[in-house]
Amino acid sequence: MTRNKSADDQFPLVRRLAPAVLLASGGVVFLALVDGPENMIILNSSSTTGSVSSSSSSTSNPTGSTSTQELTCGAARSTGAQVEFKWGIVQVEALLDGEGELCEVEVLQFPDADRRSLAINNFALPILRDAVVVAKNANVQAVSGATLTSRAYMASLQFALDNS
Amino acid sequence: MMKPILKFAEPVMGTVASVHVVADRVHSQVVTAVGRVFGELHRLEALFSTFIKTSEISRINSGELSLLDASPEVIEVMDACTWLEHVSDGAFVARRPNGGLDPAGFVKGWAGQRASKYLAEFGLDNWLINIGGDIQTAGLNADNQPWSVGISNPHNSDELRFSLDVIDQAVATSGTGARGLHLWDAKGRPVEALGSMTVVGPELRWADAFATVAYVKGLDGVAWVEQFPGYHALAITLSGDLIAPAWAVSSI
Repeated sequence: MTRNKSADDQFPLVRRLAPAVLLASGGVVFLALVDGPENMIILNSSSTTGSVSSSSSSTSNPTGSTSTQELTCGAARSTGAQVEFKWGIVQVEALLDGEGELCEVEVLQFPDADRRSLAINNFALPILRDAVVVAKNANVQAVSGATLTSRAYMASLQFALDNS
Repeated sequence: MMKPILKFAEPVMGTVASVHVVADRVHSQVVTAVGRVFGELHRLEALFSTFIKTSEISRINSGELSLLDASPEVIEVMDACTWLEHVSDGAFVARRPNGGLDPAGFVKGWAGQRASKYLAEFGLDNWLINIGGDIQTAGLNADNQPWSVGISNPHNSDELRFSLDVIDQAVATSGTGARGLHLWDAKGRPVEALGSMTVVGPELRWADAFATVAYVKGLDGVAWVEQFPGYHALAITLSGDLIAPAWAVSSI
């Protein structure tokens, strides 16, 4: 499909330089696909209201502290506003732990009830979870990282996932 | 409700390939399909490995075989590599300084995607294939949720730094990690400006190649990947911070 095509043929002129977002260690941030690279939904661990804001800022430095205590995620829940983009509506719910820290984000409403059709149109909503949440749930099915040797595989998280 | 899931793993290409299939089909069909996947990976390894003297790439490099007479797969891969060298301004390298071919930076992801077609051909809709950290997913997981892919902490591969929930997408990560320094910039210097670079997007062959390029480009690589509709990069810095772009919709 790319045979003999130059970069300019495939991606004419538009070189979208999306603003980078720095997610400091310990922050929990939800990013959704939106209709322009300058817009994004940000929920970070400093937010205790659970509200969803559509932000055009290019930098976010969540400064929320990370508690090492075992706290029940979902002790409080807060449903965000429905945010409408040109391809549909997104709504998320923030789950807070006992100390009011954001511990999980659930997507309540996708732009389309049929997630598969979204994905086919490249409109899938990859959800980024920071390690704080990953560690609490640890419900991943695969691990991506620098390539493991077959020997290293035997001691890897992927090996554990393949044998669970 | 949790559906049954069948898991397979096979050493190939110097690493291990894992396949997880949500078993909504007869098990024997799944076993046959996964057998085809692993068979294809071994076949492609035998064609491309520079560690195998009889591979077409080795025979081309020794002068025994002309690229003009190589199999269609080799032509396809070298064609893609040439395009990647061009579009990456030389950050992607598939040739050795002596002119020999070394398409290893493209083959693993490309082969994984190519081999996974057997899963679709056997009518399997919900599966995940992981070739040593390069992952292609299809459909949903056993909980009827998006597949959740953990990204290793580059400083400690026993930990995850973050995860991505994806549907019908590939995830590939480039970094020095377990294999030590294996990436070089255009001037032949080893690259270690970032902890790791992860790319998510529809096709594993491109996600893998773009991750390699973006890692070499360092922080500029995150924006570089954004030019490709549907592909997005996330970087982990040496200090462990996570750098992500605003994920844009390709408005086709």
